[in-house]
Amino acid sequence: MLRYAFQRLVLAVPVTLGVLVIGFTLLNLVPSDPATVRAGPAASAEVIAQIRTEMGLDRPLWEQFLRYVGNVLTGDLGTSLVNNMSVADELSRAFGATLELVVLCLVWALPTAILLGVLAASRRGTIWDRVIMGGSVAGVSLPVFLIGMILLWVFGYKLQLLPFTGRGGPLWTLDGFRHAVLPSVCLGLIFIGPVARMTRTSMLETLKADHVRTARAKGLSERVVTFRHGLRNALIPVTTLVGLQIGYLLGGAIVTETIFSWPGVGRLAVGAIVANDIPVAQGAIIALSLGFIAMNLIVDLLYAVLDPRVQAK
Amino acid sequence: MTNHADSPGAAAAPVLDIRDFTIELVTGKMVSPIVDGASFQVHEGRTLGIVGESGCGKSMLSLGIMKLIPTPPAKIAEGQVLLDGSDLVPLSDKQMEQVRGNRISMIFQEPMTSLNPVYTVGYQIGEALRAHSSLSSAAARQKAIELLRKVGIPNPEKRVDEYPHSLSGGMRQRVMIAIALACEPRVLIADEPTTALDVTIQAQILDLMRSLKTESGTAIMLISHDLGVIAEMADDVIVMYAGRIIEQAPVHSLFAAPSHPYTQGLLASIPAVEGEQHRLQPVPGTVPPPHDRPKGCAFHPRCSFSDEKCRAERPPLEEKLAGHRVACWHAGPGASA
Amino acid sequence: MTSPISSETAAGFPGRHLLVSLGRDPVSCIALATLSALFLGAVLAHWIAPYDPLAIDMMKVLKAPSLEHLFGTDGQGRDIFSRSLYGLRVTILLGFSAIFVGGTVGTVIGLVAGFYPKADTILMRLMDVILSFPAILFGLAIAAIIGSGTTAVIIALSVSTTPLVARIARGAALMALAHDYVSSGRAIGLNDWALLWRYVLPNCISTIVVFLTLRLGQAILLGASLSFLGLGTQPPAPELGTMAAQGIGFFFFAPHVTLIPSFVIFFLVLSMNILGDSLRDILDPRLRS
Repeated sequence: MLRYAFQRLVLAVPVTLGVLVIGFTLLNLVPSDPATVRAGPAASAEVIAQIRTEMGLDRPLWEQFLRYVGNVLTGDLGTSLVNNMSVADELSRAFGATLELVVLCLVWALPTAILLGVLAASRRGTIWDRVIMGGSVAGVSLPVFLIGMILLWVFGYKLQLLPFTGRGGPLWTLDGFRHAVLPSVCLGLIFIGPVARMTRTSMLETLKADHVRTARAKGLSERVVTFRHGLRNALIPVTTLVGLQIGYLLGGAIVTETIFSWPGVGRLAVGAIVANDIPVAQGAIIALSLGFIAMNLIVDLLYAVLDPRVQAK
Repeated sequence: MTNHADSPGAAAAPVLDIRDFTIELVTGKMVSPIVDGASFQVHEGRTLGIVGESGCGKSMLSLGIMKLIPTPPAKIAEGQVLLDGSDLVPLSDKQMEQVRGNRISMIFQEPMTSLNPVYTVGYQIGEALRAHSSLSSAAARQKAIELLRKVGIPNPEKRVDEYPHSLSGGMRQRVMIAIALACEPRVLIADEPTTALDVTIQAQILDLMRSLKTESGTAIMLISHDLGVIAEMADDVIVMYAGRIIEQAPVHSLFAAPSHPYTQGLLASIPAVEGEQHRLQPVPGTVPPPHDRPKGCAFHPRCSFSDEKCRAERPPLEEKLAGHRVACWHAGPGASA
Repeated sequence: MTSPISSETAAGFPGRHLLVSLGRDPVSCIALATLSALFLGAVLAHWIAPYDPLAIDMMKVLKAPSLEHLFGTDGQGRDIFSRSLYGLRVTILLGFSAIFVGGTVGTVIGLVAGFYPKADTILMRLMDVILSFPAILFGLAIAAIIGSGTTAVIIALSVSTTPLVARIARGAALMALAHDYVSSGRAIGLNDWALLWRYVLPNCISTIVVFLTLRLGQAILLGASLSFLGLGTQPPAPELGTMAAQGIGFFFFAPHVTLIPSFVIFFLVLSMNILGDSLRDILDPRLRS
């Protein structure tokens, strides 16, 4: 298990490097000169040149890259061109908010999706199956912002049940929780469709397996057969597919944050790009990529936990 | 059903008594029998062999006895399955769970896929034990080790915590047998238990089954398309064709005097060399599918003796020799089929 | 993998049995009808649209749907129905161009990787690296580099589609290459290019097309999301995601400005997904569940 974890970690290194290269390229490809933006519209050519030197923009590209990697590794992501705040500080705050949103979403949406998939598979062909699968196709076809706006309109505005802008106190306080409900429901709703569908397919496949017949022949009850020998095995392919869905989830998170003014990394990134604040945009994109890589790593490890055959290889 | 008077060991009541057992496959509006009016008995400490080509309904028959057929499309249409005198057919799913793995067990053809890859061997044996008794998990593990030793797995203390993927096919089939025997069942149904295994492993597994039978007195229903295996293992034999029993006899009688042209074909196809694997390539043609069975004797299109009567009327299963029953118009005492 | 010749000669015209199979499922029929209507609307926008999609009328701002303005008007008094038709055109074009570019590049890479074992490792590793970035991040990054706009969205969608297609094309190519006719093609002296073009590609194309059909809906959703975030098509040009975003400011008193374009996207993608699923079920019965 440890060896496997180490292997996955090593495999994540080139991807991480790729992230850094892209992040760095970003800075160099932008048509607007960071020094000019920082100096402000009224600055003279000398001031700009001085800022260029300060920022190291006159050094050779490879040196800039190494310095940049070094900076990233030491947590120095520069300062915002707009408000001069430390990018690392802003990011660490925003990262917590995004993590909270994603985790809260997974906590309710993942079990719901899996249960719906199991229900559809074990009552295959019935009205249950059709409703769940119909809902799941609708779910993958809904633009995130439509879900978000409808939730906001119904529960936030019309019924006035829940707040719909910003983040409240910490999640464990009532206020914090209430603020987090609508965004996490919104994000969860886009996640349920594909996962329920995969679970159903995987369950149907597993329930046909020989070992399920063995389980029945042992005299195990249908419930035990479904969950212990069906779902437990069906989760292995589902895990892989959930891993592939994480990018989708991340995209959803960015839109959700924007709709509900949730102060996360996605909203930060979008705002920074619109404002041409390259250091912040760059930092946010790197943070999102690393978060994505980390989540995939977790999925890989989960996979190994679920499937004893993986560890043996 | 009076033929067993002279078979040895038949004085006692049969453990398993199947009467007019019929399984139908319902596809759309079409109903086709896949097992058609099967009646036979299995006795304590004896092995009943069931032979036939693939598609003859022998696997459906065994799954049907366990009530493990996929319903729909298949369903038990008629008949009784008397286990120690009480009928299993009307039992509810819950009641059947008490029977499966406890009083009737089953082992399957594919040892490579019949065990769940995500649980240890010990857990899967323990599961069968705990489904039918109130053993603690520690006690179940201990019992699992004993069972592994009993089925001849070396180093059971270590093997008990291993996953199926680290065991060979033969070892896995031994584990399957351990699971099946965990609750000391009255009947063990073995559906092609050695087909997927090498010849040497096959012999070992058959030896194991034989010695376990002698030890525990469990009645065995052995399903195979391999007449060599049947000859070696069975006390009585049933030959199935197109969902029906066409010949039923004690093993020596069947091999000495096969009466149905189909059985004769099967026997003729066995290579004479001892120890060679006996694959069935008996008679030209294939078993007709359940929805397309010919009128009369289902075998007539492939039979060289067929005549008008065979095409028109289905021959009943009748006792032609002592304890030897055949369903053929041309078989009988003196009939030189 | 059937040979292209047999599948074409089997039916009168290539898609005939496909249409017959689709026709049996009422849901697929409705989806097909919806999709056709939306496509027609997009293509004929110029003739159908009752108003100029860019014409501002400050006297008729944020009107609710009525007979005069079927879908109402937006914050600048523009007719939402007309804008939706034109927006649909942009949205569909966006999705198709991304699928076309990503599909073509991905197919070439996949075929080359499958055909030349030497190139395989490096190409597929590269694809893996690209695959490990979510599409939305490409959208953000490219918008940051070249600025927000339709081009940024198309590039982002194409780049993120490429590795997916490459994987599928490579798999299909490897399967096709295992067939005897490829070695016989080689034996009669065809060069690599002719072999790929005439023997391998025709055998991969149906798998790739089915995948792209399913990908199209996702691409459109993703493009709309990027536009909604303000990183895609820039106003005043009508694009459904952009239109939805423009309504946010007055969402509480004129929700139709956001909801109508959003629902148009929903129906577009929903009918695409339903048809994509049916298509896959028909073309690849193994996947039917």
